[in-house]
Amino acid sequence: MVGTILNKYFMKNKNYLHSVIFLVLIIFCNTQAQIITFNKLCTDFIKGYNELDIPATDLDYKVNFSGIKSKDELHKQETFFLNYSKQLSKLDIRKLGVEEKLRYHQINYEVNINLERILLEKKWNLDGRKTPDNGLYQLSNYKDWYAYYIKHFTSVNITPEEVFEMGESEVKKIQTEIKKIQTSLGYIDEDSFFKYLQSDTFYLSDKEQILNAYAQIDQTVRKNLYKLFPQIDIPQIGVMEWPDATASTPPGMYLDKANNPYGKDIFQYNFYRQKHNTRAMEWLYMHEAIPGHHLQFVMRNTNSDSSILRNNFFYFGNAEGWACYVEDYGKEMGLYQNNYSYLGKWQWDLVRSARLVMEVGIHYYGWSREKAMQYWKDNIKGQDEIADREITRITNWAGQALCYKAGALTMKKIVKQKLKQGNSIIEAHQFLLLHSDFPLEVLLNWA
Amino acid sequence: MEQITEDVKRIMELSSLKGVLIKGVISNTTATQAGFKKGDVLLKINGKEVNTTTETMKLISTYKGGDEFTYEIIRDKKIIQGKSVFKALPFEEYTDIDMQYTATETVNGIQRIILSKPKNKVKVPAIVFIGGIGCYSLDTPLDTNKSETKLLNTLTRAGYVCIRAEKPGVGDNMNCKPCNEISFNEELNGYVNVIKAIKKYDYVDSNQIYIIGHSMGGVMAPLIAKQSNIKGIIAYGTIGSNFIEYLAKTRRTIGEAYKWNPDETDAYIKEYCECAFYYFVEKMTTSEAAAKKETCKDYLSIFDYRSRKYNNELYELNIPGAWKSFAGKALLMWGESDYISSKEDHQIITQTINTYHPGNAEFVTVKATEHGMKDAITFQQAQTAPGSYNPVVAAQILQWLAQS
Repeated sequence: MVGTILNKYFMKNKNYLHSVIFLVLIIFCNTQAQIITFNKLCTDFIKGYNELDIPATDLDYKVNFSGIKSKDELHKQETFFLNYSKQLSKLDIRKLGVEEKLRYHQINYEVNINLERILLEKKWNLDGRKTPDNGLYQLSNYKDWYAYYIKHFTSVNITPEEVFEMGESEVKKIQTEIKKIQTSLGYIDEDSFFKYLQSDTFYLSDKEQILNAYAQIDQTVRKNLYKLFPQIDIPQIGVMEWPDATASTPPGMYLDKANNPYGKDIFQYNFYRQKHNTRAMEWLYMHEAIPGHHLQFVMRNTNSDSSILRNNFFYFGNAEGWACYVEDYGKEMGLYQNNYSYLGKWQWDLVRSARLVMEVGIHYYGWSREKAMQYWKDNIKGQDEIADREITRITNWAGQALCYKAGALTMKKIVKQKLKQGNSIIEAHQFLLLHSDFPLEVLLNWA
Repeated sequence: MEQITEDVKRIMELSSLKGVLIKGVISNTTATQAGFKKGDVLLKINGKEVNTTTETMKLISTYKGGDEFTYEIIRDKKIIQGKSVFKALPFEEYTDIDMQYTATETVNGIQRIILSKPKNKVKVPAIVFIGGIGCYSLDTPLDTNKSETKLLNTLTRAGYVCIRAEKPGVGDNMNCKPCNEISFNEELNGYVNVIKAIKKYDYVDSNQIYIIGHSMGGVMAPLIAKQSNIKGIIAYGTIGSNFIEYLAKTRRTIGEAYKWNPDETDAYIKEYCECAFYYFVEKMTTSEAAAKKETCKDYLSIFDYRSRKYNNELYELNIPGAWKSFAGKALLMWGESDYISSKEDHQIITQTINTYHPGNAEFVTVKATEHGMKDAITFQQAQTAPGSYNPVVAAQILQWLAQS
């Protein structure tokens, strides 16, 4: 039907038709030429980038400082990125496709953040290469360094002040949620409530029981998954104890098939001292497995995007932000049906939120370790045993702990935008899952 | 490599817990040459079963590059047998450092010397690194994140030629007795020979030789200096008192690291000292001491990693006395989370040197750092989960070198 009407129209306007075809051809060829040029630019960028041998970012800022290159090497890097900054500004992005446009902004993001880093590293070399041992605050230009670290790990343009404020507000919100649960469970006295939470009732020490519980959670989540997330075959995930766990081992970890020796995708849970916290099981499975990291990895591999940039860069804010974001959908996934598993989610969220405040405190406002510890004691009840570990972590890993909450909150904003554009929640989630190798700032501003 | 646990057995659908799982294969090594892949389970080498990572490493260390071997692995649930040849370890390579692998004849045989040299420098001061008590090699090209490597590479980049003096009987050394049969003085004399050899290198400024003595290396350093012209010594995490006193002091910090209650630690120190007395004073073997007191078996087994002669010679030392005659400059460094050495010992050495050579010694602590120069805020964290190498160690050494 549509084809017939068009035919009649074109028959009547033959001369006009020729000029239209010509014009369309010019535009098409021009657009194709732009894409070819852009693809070549991407290929050359990756090749040149790899040749620069820029050290991969370590979580420990001190390791990164020790790997800062010499003045000459940094000059070489600067020339490279300035050249691409120039080339990118000459491209007419209106002629690029939707995905190419996002890739364009990704390169632009990489160019800008690298130029920011190079500037800081050049100054650090000039200042005598002194590595601060207790946080970035000890550097004369700590504000610039910390702003860079925040950007690097979250991939979001957010200031330390905003992070601090976000942390404080999240801490308050979560404390209220925890209080509500405490009250609904009939506990008036806070101390006796948290004492009860430490009891053996909440710990499993039989591995068979742990595996059964995770199998049950997996089944429940899979049953409800497609209410909110795209339909896709999700391979089974192997569940195992985290080998050689210590007091510093986090609650769990996801290892995709390509990155482990076991031959399948793996979720490892913390079984330090032969016990596992039952309150943590539901949010942890959502975070590490489905719909968190496991779904993210499976979905990423279904992406048909052939760009050379695909999976070339890793953004902590995107990876951890997603896993943290999905924890909020526990109820929709059939989980958090009892107060204690819901409490478990909030208890860990409280740690994550308090980390925002303490991290900015240490690196930006010059908090001492003691002050950070006092903040922990004042705001986080019943988790003293991990306070030392967490404060050490945020002192050494400047910026990393922010990627969870800052990432999740940015994901919420992107989803909101997508819903406003007329997409369904499933489509919004599909978009995020297919773009898990992008900086969040690019997705927020250009998607 | 990783142990085959019940979890691994279940997930990989293996029929038993035998073998070790290959977690990954580094390119250009024996494993790649043999065709091993991530996920293979190594069952046997030359017909000998391997069931733990320690067992495997111990067995592998008995072979040299070029030796042939047979293997048995499980891949995709099938047993595969094959033959291959052990490949010598690759050399470390850096774009901004010249690495040189050389050797010299010492009292112990042919000892390997690994040098990292600043590029395009003609004659530079040298730093010789002497490691701790264990029989380990400093030749670790497959893991360049080790504290020793990171530290020495930073010093090289700052303009020093750094020398890793390999312990006799480990790594590529030839014609040496096994490390665990060598005595304290034999090891020490080997280092003296190494320093004599490097002084002849045209790019080494023989008047500016420094030693970094790590742990037991710090005990050896002043004794080496007696036989060599050494400008300065940096001793990190070392011993500064007689060995029995050192053991008693550090058992207290070990108790703290393991979070024992004070009464438990006290009982441990008492028992440990009793065992140490049997071993070092009465010259009993570990088994003889264990016959007297059962716990001595556990406490003393660590000394069996070195020879009886080594331990006897160590016990005979007057460590402050060794430092007394050292007229060069000294930097004593103690990591504030090092529960294996004591802060007081470093202060004893500093005081000894400054008494006999006023102003020559400086004592510094390194914040939040453990015995292996890694990040750790507390003794407990040092014991459970130390972080990565703390670059502040190199920064403090460089600061001292610039002033000395």
